[in-house]
Amino acid sequence: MIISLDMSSDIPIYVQLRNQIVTGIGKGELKAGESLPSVRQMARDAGINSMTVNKTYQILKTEGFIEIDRRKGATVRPVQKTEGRFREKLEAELEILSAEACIKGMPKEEFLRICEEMFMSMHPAESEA
Amino acid sequence: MDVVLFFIFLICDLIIVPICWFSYGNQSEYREGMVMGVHIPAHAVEDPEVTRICGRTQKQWKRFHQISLLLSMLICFLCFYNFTLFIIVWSVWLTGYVAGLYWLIVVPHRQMYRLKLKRGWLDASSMHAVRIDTSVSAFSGKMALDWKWHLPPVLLTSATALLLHNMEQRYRLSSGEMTAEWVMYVSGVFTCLLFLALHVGIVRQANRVYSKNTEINLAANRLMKRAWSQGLVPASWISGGAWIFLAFCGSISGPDLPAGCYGVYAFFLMVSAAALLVPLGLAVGKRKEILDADQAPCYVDDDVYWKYGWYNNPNDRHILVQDRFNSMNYSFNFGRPAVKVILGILAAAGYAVGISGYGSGRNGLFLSFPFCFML
Repeated sequence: MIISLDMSSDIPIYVQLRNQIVTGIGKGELKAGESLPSVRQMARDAGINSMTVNKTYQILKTEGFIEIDRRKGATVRPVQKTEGRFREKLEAELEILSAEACIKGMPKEEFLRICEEMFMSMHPAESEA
Repeated sequence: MDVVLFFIFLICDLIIVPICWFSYGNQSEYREGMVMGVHIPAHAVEDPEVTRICGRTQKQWKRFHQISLLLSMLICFLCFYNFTLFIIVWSVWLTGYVAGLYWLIVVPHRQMYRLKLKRGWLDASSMHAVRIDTSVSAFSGKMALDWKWHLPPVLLTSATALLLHNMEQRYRLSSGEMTAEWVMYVSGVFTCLLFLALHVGIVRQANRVYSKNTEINLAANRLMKRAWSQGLVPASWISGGAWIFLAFCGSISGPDLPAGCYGVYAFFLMVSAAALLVPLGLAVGKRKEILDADQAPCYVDDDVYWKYGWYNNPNDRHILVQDRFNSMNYSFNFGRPAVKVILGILAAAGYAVGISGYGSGRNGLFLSFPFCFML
């Protein structure tokens, strides 16, 4: 999977990195069980501080998208069942997006169509094998 | 001795000039989205101004190298007349050659960059982008030979200090008389250490994203890192072996070695250079084939950091980056303060060795030459 970071963006690098990894898992570009680069190697390849990469990996681990093992490093976790915590987070973020869409005059049908298209483009792969 | 020195310098010139001629001589080709080291769109290659800059540069490049090669060969004959004069003239020639090379690479590059700005051929979306291929990155640790293969030559060359000490005692030589030998010792050990440092530095380099296709990125990155490690390890062993051979000869025969020993030493140094350059040359050719076949190339327009002809990006943490003008080479990031310190140390070391070699007389100068040349 190709990750692209915009160094001139206002969005922090760790947030960009986290979002791209999550999107990659969702689209099946990163499969369950697939190894992510080590913190040091990712930092070297991106030209960023290893603390930034470490922070990203810790956030992804807390959110349940990856697991970190001392020997294997970071690997993508298999698809999980929806938790209550995640549902609350989703509702909070969707509330903001819905509010913005309404304020900008977007029809409900168009909003739902976009959501459906995005959701249909996600094909998280079960395993690397 | 004059004949030996003549042939050594002649062969060095016959290696240096053609290598620079051909390895830096294809800037006019459109490769990896660049001409003259500047990213331009594919349709812009046919622009009359682009064609004019490329055509003129190619002619100047060819003429410059033809004249330099002829001049270098003629200068070598001064060895038979006066060696001190020869060294001065040869040093002036080498300085002029390097300055000329730099001029012929950087000036057209800057002209092309100015043209790019004038025509608006900027790719704003990729200017500040950094790309990482996660599969390539995850595989990084398995791309090259282990750096520990350099340890035996480093330890063995270091141990030749015992042979020199033995020679000093056996032939009752003073410290001043041993200067040339100790300069050679430092040169031998430093060469092996330098190859080790290069191995570690290059293998740890950031992986490049050439394409949206992971297989191509993996093949290209693995090819280059493996080639570097496969070149540096034998080069270290052979150059270390060359010095060990000379140290053994010295410990047996004393400081006045027969010319044949120096001939064998020079031969092994050349074999060491070939051992490094041949795998690299083959890998560059193979990588070009892989990238030419790519249907989905991926470029990052970072020309703004190369606009002066060298890489200057204070926001990039890397000290060494792939050279823009020769993908087989690496370049310093002059935006990092540490680079200025490193260059200062290398320059001081080269100057110190050169001066101490010159102070030891002709033999010392000859013997310190490989070290200075390498720096």
